[in-house]
Amino acid sequence: MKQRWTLVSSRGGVLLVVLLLFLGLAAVGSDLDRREGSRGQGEKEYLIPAEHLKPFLCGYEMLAADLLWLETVQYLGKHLLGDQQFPQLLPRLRRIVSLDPNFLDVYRLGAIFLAYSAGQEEEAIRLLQRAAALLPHRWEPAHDLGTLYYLRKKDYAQALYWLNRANALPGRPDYVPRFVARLYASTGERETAVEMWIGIYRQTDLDWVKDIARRELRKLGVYLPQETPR
Amino acid sequence: MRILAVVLNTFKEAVRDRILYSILVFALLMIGGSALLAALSIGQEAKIIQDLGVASISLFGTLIAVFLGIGLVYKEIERRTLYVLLSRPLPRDQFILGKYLGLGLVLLVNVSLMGLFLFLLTRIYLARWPWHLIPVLGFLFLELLVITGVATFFSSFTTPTLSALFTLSLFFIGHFTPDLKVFVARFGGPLTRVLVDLFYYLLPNLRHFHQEQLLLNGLPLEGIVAFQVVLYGLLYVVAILLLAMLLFARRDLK
Repeated sequence: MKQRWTLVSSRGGVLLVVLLLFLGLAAVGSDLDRREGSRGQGEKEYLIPAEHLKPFLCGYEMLAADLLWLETVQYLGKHLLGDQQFPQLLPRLRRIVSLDPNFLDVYRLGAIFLAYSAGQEEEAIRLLQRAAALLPHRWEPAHDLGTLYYLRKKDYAQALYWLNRANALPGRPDYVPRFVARLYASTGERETAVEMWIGIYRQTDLDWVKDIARRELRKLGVYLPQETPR
Repeated sequence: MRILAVVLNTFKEAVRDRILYSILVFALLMIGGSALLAALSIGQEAKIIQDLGVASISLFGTLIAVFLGIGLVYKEIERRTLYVLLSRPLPRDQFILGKYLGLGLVLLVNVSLMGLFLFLLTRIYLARWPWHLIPVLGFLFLELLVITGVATFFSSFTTPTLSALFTLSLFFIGHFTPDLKVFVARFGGPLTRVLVDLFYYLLPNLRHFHQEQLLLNGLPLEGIVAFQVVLYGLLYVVAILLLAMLLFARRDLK
């Protein structure tokens, strides 16, 4: 008896159709990627606010904050290698710390990129002040505020205030008391700045932060051992 | 002794269920896969592994609690084994309690397995033993016990499909309830407030069991809060099981 023809009678034919469909999908997908990628980089995107996201997260706020941080790292990388503009960095950071207010690295790294890559020192200070208020037992926000006031804002009174606070907290780096002493003596502004940047350089494992420290040290005429003056 | 027999039988039956292994394997893959995702971060590998691992344990534990819990009573009725059991000197309330404890044991074994895997994985990235994970997993287990209680409650008087629907709805509502209270406090009238307050205390507030924002970030959790969370979980389990026993005792099984 003759077998009835069905859509899947010819296995080879079906596989060929599937292959063609995937080729079509790849073509459409890559074209979409190209079109989306060529959109204006400074274009304002809509970020769903944390307070709207929270009720739907069913207790998984920390996981959402981690995923949003990974997305922010991609955003940072794309713009660091691209136009060096970071219009959506601050809203991204705010959203992450609203979901996980204890995510210390987001405050620290976020403030560094805001201050030294995006030129938003005031926003960086506000972000770190929020961290200092929420995590009063951690030395890191006070330390970062101290260095930011000293290196970027040249506000030595504020720098002294925050470094004093960092100095009183457990776990702070060994060089903090030296900075405090120097600030009290009001001596050697350049030397203090150099030591602060070297401290930041040594403290981090992140290449992006090391790059910023290296750049700032070059501005002060200091070249790290592996570098040569141009 | 009779309860123990039901507990062990429920446990053995559950570990023979393929759905349990599918969920467990998927959960372990998710926890292991978190290491790949963590590689995308800049220096937060341990945090991302812990967060994703804990979320996976919570999510897959909930799926185990719901999908095994909903069929607890129904399967026994369908296979007619319930009539054999109840014809022996086994009161209905003990049957429900035994079923619940059996599933609780299954969850304990599963959470321990997933937790051990996460514990060892975190140890590699954190370079020290992550003891802080233990209370986090303890609270998650307590949350799963509450969800199992809810699943047992619905399973005692309705079909598995409806039980799954109701239990999952309560899982979502359980995370919404505090927002509902805030919303009503701002916009609702006096009657609405009373009604919402009533529902707020009747429905489980599952957010209480999520203390990981403090514990996983190395922040201290007050002893009194930890005690109250445990007390809240245990009181809810006892209350919902008593209701389940009451309904099952009055159920016409003919």
